[in-house]
Amino acid sequence: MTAKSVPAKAVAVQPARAKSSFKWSNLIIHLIFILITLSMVVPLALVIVVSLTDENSILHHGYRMIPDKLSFSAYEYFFKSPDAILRAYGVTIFVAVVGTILSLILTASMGYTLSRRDYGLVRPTSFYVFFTMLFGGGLVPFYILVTQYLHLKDTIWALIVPGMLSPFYVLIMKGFMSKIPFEIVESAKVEGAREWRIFVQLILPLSKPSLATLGLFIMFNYWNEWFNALLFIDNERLVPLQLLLVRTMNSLDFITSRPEFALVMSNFNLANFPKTAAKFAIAILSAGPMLIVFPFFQRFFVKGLTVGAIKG
Amino acid sequence: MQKTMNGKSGFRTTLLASISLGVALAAAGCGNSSNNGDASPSASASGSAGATASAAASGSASPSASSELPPVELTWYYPQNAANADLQLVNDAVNKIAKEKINATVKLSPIDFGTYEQKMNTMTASGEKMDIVWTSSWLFKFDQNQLKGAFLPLDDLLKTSGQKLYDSLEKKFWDDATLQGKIYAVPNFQFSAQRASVVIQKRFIDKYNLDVSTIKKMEDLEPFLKQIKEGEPGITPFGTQKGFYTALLYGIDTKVPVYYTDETNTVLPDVTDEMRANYALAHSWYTKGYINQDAATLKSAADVYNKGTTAVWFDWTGKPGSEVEYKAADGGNDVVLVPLGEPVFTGAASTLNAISRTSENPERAMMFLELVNTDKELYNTLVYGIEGKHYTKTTGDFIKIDQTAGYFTNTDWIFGNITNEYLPEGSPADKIEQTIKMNGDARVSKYNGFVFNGEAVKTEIANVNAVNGEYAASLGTGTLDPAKYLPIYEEKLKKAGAEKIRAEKQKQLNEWLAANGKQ
Repeated sequence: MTAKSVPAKAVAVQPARAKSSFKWSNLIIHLIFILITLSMVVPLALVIVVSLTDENSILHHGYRMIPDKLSFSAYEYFFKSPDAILRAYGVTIFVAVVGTILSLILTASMGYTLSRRDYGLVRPTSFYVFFTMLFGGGLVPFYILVTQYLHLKDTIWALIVPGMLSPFYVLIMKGFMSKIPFEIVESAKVEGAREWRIFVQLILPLSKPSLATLGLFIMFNYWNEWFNALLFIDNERLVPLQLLLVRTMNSLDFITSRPEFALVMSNFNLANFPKTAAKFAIAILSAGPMLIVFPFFQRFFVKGLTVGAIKG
Repeated sequence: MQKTMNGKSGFRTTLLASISLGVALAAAGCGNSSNNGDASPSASASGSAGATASAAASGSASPSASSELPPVELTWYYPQNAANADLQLVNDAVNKIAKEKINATVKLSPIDFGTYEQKMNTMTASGEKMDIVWTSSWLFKFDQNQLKGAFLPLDDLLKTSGQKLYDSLEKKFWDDATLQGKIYAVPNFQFSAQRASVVIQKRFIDKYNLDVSTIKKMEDLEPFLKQIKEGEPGITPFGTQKGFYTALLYGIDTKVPVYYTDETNTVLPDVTDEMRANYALAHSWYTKGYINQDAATLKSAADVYNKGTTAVWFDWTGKPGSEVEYKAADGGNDVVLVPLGEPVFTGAASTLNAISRTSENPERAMMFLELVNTDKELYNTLVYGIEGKHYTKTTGDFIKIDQTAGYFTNTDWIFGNITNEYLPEGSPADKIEQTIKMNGDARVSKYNGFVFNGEAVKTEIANVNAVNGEYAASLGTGTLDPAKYLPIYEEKLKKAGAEKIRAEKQKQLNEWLAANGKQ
């Protein structure tokens, strides 16, 4: 996305400045960026095209940019009973929004605490955060913690709580916040502001770029998350979009790739399963909304980079 | 200057400290898990002892007095193809039957096939409470999980709460669910035989007047393949995915590679003379252009025939009635199934229901399993859903399934004994009789009940699998010339330790034969 916008701008600027002095170097740079852009756009376009191609035409001719025969059957497969997929969208959007907000609050407050050099326990706390970045408890203890101590099994919180605090993001946040001059905090104190007020009214607004950047990352993580759902969700009503799609994919691969399976499946009919085109429709369905969300964040994204650059 | 020095060394100590702490934690983790391993069997053993005691108590009461049993809720984990919208409705219907008969309810927890193994492994490792767990020889593996102590031994439970269930199956089925002398699961009765076959498109049989009764072995196909090659451009004469070498074709036991006729029970090496001949045949077909060019790299068996442009392909199972399924999958072309050998009993371990170690009510779980396997109404509710909503009865035992009504499993073999099932429209009327007959007629390996424990040769097995992954498909499909590559393959197998595995297998087999008085 960013790569795509760069050549566009450059092209717009170039004629005015360098109309007379045509530069080979510019041409080469443009070519390089055009190639990079194509390398990102072409696969995406192919995915869209294949998802709209007739199943038989894929079987006979393979993947093609220009299909012999268009067909919406892959999408029909998912939307013929829209309940499941719409509910899954609902779950995913809820988890992504609520999770991102909660996670940002936690990350920002933790990062801020660690960035305050008058906090006495900076070292042990940083170490505590840093340590969890390197070592984890493993899958089974994690499972036991969530199901037997937190009792989150089959609740939507099982999708939100585990991803709420990432040590890596805390450290990024800390890095950003420690660039904010400490004098701001001190002068606010002189004016009589308490800690909460300083955090909420001064620090958070100043950190907007980093909040937006991390918010985007966190939202991506929540959007793409399916493993926690796989472990903790049995209730069909709480299945997020990605798990629904992973399941469809897995079941298909699983069934077609295992001869043992054919052996025990006594009246098995492949016609009931989505085929190649459906896999590509899955990719579009799962990635689509994020493609729309991204540009809104991009504004902050660029700003986040420049703000960091000036201060740093 | 000093500050940066401090900062550096501070970071260094932090890193060191964190690494050492991590190592310590990991070590503690290992210690813990091994402790758990020791502790849990004893704990659950006492649990099961208590359970059998109470089972005996409840068993002494007459089974009709179900109201005297305290109400319990059981859980049942099993794999499914896809989620069903009406699962809750079916679950309620199941509970109604179970409540009436054994005063128990069950929470059905289907998990899709692709993630079943991973999820069940995590749940088993964390000691989650479960009652009934589906297991098999190929997914969430029965023997491995039994070794981990995931399941309860069922011998006593079968006597006290499941006698009827025990009597409903032949011993050869129970043998497959027996490990270390104890029964650990209830096999689901289904088609459990295998017969190497070829599938031929009917249109070519008619066109070239092929007499299928003359085809007794793979070599007999050659003239027909030649006719197809010459007469049908655009048609692949013979389609295969990983080749067509199987012990079934050559009078070798499928349980342990030993010739049927061999009285000395000598375990054969990986590369047999039959395999050499088979690979040579495959290669000659491949060079003559009979075999699809992409045979060695095809991922899915269905890719061999789903375009409808393949004349003949190999079928490992040879299930009666599979012509209908092939027709549905190969673009609507009629096919004829030609069996090449006698049916062989493949064992019942391909679908089993076990009772988890963590079950709080094992005797009730057993009663429920008995009910599923003997109560026609309950079983058909699980398989087909609710009558009138998800299926309608037509004539006799035939039903018409509405696949879009919100409950469609297509997996009768997951739940229990398929002889209790209604027949979907289009299946042969004697499907059940045929299945019973084939299971009865199928050759039962004389090693039925023997399970090879690969623990001692784990590394060698991994190495051999790697070598097989590299060569077996290319040689089996004839893509590589066996004259040149078979010796290399054998050499690599030898280096990987194939002989050691064979020796270990022979040793375990001899012990098993001696222990079972078969030698």
